[in-house]
Amino acid sequence: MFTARFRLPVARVAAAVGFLFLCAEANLASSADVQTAEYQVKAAFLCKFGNYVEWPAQAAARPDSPFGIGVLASDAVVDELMRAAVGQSVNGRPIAVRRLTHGEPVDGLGIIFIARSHAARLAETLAATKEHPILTVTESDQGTPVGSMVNFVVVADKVKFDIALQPAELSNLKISARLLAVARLVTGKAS
Amino acid sequence: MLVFHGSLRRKLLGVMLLTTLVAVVVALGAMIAYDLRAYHQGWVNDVSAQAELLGRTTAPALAFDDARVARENLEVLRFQPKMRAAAIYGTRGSLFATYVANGSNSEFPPLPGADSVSVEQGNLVVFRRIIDHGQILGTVYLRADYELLDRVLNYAGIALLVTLIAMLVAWAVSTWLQRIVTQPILSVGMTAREVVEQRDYSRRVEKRSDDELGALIDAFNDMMGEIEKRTEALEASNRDKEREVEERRVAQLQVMRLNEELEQRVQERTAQLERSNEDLAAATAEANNANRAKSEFLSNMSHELRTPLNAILGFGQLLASEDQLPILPEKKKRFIGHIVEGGNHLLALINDVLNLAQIEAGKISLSLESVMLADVFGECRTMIEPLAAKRDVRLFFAQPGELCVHADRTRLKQVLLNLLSNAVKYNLEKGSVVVACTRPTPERIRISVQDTGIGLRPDQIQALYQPFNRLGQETSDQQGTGIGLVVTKHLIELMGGEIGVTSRPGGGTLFWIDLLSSLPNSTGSRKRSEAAAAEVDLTGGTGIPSTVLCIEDNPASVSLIQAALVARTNVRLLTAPNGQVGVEMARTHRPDVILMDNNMPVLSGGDALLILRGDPNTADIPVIAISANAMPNAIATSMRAGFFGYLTKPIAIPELLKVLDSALTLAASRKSS
Repeated sequence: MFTARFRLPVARVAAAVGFLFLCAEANLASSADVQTAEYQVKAAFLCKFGNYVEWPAQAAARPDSPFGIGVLASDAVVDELMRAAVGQSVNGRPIAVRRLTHGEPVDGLGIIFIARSHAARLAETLAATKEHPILTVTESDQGTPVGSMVNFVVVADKVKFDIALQPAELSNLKISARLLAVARLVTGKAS
Repeated sequence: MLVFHGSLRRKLLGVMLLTTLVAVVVALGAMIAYDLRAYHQGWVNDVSAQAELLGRTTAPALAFDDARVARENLEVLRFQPKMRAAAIYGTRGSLFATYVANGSNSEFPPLPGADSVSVEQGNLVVFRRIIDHGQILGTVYLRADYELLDRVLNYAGIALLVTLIAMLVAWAVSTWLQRIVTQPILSVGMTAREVVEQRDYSRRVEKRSDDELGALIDAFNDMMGEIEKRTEALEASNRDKEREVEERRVAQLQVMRLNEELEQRVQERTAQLERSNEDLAAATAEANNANRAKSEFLSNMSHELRTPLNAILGFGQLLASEDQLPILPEKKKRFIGHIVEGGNHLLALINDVLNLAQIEAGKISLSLESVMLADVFGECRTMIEPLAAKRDVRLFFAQPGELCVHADRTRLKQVLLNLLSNAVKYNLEKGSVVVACTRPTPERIRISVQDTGIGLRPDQIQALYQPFNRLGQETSDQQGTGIGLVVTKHLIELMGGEIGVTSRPGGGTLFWIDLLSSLPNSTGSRKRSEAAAAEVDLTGGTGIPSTVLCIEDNPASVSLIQAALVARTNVRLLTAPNGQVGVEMARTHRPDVILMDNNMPVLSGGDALLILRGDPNTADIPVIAISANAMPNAIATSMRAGFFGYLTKPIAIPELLKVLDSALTLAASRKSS
């Protein structure tokens, strides 16, 4: 039932990310793990966020250098993301997925995704990225954590995300209005 | 005129309207075409841009699989009513989000198409792929109103209206123009028409402007002036010609009248000619009749001449053959009597014929004088009595007294004798003849001879005066020539008188003659009454011995004279066969008397007489002419030439002897003297 509920959105996302769809189908067919489907969508989203965010000029070392996405998550999620990033690009730059560990420096990364499984050191991690031009993405069902810019939520079996503008501004990131338009909630807009 | 008027007007109007129509239609057509093209392109661009915009707008929704956002994006189209429907297809071709305007068709194609712009069922349909950051995210489907047909219709309506207005304006302008341009031309035409119809060349067209039309009107007016001048000249000439024609007509009438007169005259002449032709025909007929009469006359004459000759020759031959056939003396005497009678009849016949010939030839000469009827009656009675006595017819002569008529004595006697002999001859036995004499008018005396004969039928009376017509008496025993009455009639007419007859069968016949009366002429009236024939002594004569020379070429005549003179023993007869010999014998023998034939060869009687008269020896010898020419003219001429006497053949023996005796007596007296 859940599978069926997830099937359609997953299929839609898969259509946008090419081969990922095939994997998801295969996974769905092989196991009923909703987590997998969920992360497949989230991985695809992560790969696309870069296109709707403008980083400060010094953030990008070179135009042809890979766009780094740091991941604090389980291996399955990392693998999922790596598969999703194949063939994808952010502003013409290829995506390089890097598995992070706590305390590891975040230099050179554009996006950091902190999975639910690694939420224990969330605040620490977020604080570490503070003052860095890094888009921080979390998945918290209890509202957007402080310091997080983008927070995945699942509403009615669909993956949605909220955006907090204040931390983004602090990090000199400009989030595109087009991304804001598809966000479930945008906070900090008044400031 | 109406046609002319309407046509020009219509043509002008037509040109104007057509021009306007073409201009308007072309202009409007171009404008509409341009506008439609612009509309089409603009609208296609608009819709395409809208589709692009929608694609861009919905790209994040697609990317992040947010159909709601996509629908919200599509909802923006609500502000564009011409966008009827829109849809977003996902990468796999499934519908992601849709939008349908109120009242529009909510059907969408099951699969998206490639990038395209098309017009389907009055809608503009646009497919446009959504590409974001090099990734094909999906396809936008946009359906918008495509109002080209509506526009076309709208424009057509507007164009129609504009065209109508333009035409109206054009019509108004044309009318106005017509007033300006056509009116003067029409007035020129109308004036020309009126001029033609009314022949009023003094008309002019009013000039209203100084443009080309003004020039036209000026030219027209000048032309009219010229025509007026010419027409006047022509009319004047026509009047002259009419006058001339009238004169000619009068002349022609005159000619016709003259012709009629001429014709009448020709008719008259023709009538005259016809009359004269008739006359000519009558004359020809008469001539033919005369010719026929002449032929008949000749044949009759031949018959009449041969009849007495028959007696003469027949009895003569009997006497001549006395040697073989002795004839008793008394029979011989009767024969000789027949011969003499036949000879006399022949003589009378010849005389009558000669008379007739003379009369017809106009050669007869009458000596008209006053003749006492009493003398003539007496002579005639003497002469006719023997005949009457022989036929036992009584004669009654009226007493004419002193009545005289203007006539030729001899011819009157001849006429009366003829009538009397007829009356006696054709009378009945013991009939009577009455000769009367009346004076119906002072100038005229009528002598009538009435017999008691068998009378005449009317047709006989008509044929009375034709020669040799003896009125049925041809077979009678009465001798006659059939010429007597013809001669009588001619003679009476020559004497200025008339002859007529009244008779009826069985009632006798009355001939009358009218003659002019005249006063008695005593002198010589009885001179010839002594004509009683003296008894001639045939044998004795004068008894004086004498010589007579007979110059005659005809031996028979010579023999006759010799026989006649046989009894005269004292007369020696010499004969000469022609004039030449005769003249010489006269010179030689110096005869007492010469008997000379007038018509001889070598030397004629007349010439011989001249020679004899020219010779003193023979000049005194009396010469007696003997001639067959009994014409009075010839006799008179001969007597003037100096003949002593004139004897006509056939010679009457007593006459011969009588003249001879008197000549001998003259000769003897000359001798003795």
